Amino acid sequence: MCNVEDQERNGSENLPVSSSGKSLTGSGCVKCGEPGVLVTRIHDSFCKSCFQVYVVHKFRSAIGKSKLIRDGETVLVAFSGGGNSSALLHLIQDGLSLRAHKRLRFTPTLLHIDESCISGVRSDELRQKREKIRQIMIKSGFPSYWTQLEQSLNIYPELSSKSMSKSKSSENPASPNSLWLTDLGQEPAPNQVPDDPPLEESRKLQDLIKSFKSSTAQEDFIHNLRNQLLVAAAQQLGFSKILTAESSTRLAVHILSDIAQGRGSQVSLDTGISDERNPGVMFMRPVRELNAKELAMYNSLFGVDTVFMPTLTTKTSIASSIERLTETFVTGLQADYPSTVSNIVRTSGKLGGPDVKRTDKCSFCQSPLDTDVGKTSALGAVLFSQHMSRPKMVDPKDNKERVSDGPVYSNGTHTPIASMPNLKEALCYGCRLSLHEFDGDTSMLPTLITKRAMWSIQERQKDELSGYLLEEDVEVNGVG
Amino acid sequence: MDSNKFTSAGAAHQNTTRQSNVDLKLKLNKFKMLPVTVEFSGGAELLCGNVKKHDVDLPGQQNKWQIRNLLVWIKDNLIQERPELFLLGDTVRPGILVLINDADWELMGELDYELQEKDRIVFISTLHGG
Ligand SMILES: [Zn+2]
Ligand SMILES: [Zn+2]
Repeated sequence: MCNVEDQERNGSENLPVSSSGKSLTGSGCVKCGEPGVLVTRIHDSFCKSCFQVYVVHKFRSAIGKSKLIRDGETVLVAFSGGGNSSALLHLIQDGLSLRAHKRLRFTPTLLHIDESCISGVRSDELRQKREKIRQIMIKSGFPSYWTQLEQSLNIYPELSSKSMSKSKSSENPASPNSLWLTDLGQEPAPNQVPDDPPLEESRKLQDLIKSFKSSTAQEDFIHNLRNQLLVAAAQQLGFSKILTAESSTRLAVHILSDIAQGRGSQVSLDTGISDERNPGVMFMRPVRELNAKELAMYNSLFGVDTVFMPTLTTKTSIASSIERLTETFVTGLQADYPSTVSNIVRTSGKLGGPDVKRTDKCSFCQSPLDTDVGKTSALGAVLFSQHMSRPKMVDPKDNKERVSDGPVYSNGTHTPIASMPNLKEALCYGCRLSLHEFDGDTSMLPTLITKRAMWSIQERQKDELSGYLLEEDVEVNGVG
Repeated sequence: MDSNKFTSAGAAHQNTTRQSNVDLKLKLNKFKMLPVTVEFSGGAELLCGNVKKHDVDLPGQQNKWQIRNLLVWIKDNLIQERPELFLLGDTVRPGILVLINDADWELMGELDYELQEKDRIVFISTLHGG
C-alpha cells in the first residue's frame, strides 16, 4: 500500500480543488507536513503514520484512562467480523506485538456470535462468510469461541443450580449455564466449517423476532438478547470483562435512538467507557473515541480483513427503524458538521447514570428500573392507556392491577410463566415499549426474561402484601 | 492507455455506424476509454450484485471524467437495486467513505477529482446495515 506516493503522483499533476472552492495544496499532514491520506476533523489531515499514532493513542488512552483492566487480566472480546470489531482486534494484536511502544498488559479471548439466522436465509454465501470469520479468529492466535444467537433462548438466569439439558461443553461448573460454545482452537483446522445453527432453534428465534411488530422493537430486542448472551457466555467461560467495538458514531446513534425509544435513563450505561449493569460482568468500549470513518480508514490503510454480515435493516429503506433513521440523521449531520458525533457523545458523558447497584433491575436488559415515577410521567400515560383498554383488570381505587391475576401456567409445562401485564412490571420503560409491540404468546419469550420476571414479581408481591397488612394495622389502630 | 482495447472498441463502433465515419474517427482519437477499478465494501457491495471489485473501462467522453460523472455511471451500470442507499442527490450517501488511491476523497477534490488511468476508487459503507 503506497498511498502516500499515489497521493503525490496525483497531487503534483493537477492540484485538485474541493467543491467548496478551497485549494487542497495545503492539505499536508498537520503533524509532519507529509501528504495527507485522510481528513479526520475539520481541516485536520493526517499522513498514514501520523494517523496510526492518532488511532493507537485514542485506543490506548481509553484502555488506560479507565484503569479498569488489571495487569495480566484475561478479557473477552466480542468479535462480529465487521469493520469496528476487526479494527479493535487489529489494535489489540498491534498493542501486544513486540514492536508496540508500551505493550498492552491484558490477554484477550475472542467470542463470535453467529447471528445469521436473523436474515432468515441459509446460503452458501453466508457459510463462506462464516468460514472467513472463523479463519480470521484462528489466524489471530488468540483463544477463540463460537456461539449462536439461538443460544440466548437457552440462558437460564442465575439464582438456580439447575442446568439446561442441552450440554456440549461445560467449561465452568460454577455457572448455571451450559450454553453451546465451541472452542475454535480445539477443532481440527480444515473441513470444520461452522455449521448452520440447528434448524429448529433458528425457527424458534425467528418466530420470536417476527412476533415484534416493528423493526424498531425487533432491533431493540435483538440488541438486548445479544448482550445477555455475551454476559452469559462470559460467565460460563469465567470472564468478568467484555470488550465491544462501538465507534463514537455508533454511540451517537445509540444516544439519540435510546432517548427516542424510552431508554433515556440508560444512555450513560449504553454509551460510556464501561457498563456495569450486569452483575459480575462489565462491558468496556475501547474504541469509543474513534468514529466510523476513522475505523474504516484504519482497516483500509492497514489491510484489515472485514466480513459484512447482513443485519435486520440491510437493504431496507433509510427510515425502516428508529435506529436506522437516527443513523441517517447523525451521519447526514456529520457530513456537514464534522464535530456532530463527538459533540453528541461528549454531551451524553455529562449525564449522570442510574445507580447500577440498585437491586430492582429490569428482568431483560438488567438496567436499574426507571419505572418508579409519578402518574404524570410518560410511563404514567402509557400505563393509563393500557388500563383503559383493559378496564376489568383495574382496581378503580388506586389504578393498580390486581395481584390476583398473577402468574399463570402455560399448558404442558410445569414452569409458571408470568402473564404479559405482570411481566411488564418487571421491565424497564424501554423494554416495556418493545414488549408492547410483541403479539406472540408469552411462552415464546426466552426463559431468561420470564424466569427473572417471575422471581421479581414474586418478590414485589411479598413486599406489597406486607405493606398492605401494615396499612391495615394502622387503620385498625386509628379507628380503635 | 491500452491501445488494443481502443482499436477493437473503435472497430466495433465503426461497423454499426457507417455515416460520419470521419467524425467518428476523430472522436475516437480524442476520447479514449479510461480503465479504472471501482470497489465496494462494508455492505455497499450488496447493491452491486454482491460483487466487490469491478475493473471497468469508462467510455471516452469530451470532458475529463470526474468523480461526479463516475457516480452517475455507477448508478446506471453497477448498482442493481436501491440506488438511494448509495447516492443522495448528486453525491454519495453520508456514511459511505470514498477513497481515491487509498486516500480520503476529501483531500482529492471530492466530486471534482479528475480520474486518471488505473485509479482505484473504493466505496466503504460505515453504516450499520450496509
Ligand atoms: Zn504526518
Ligand atoms: Zn430493560
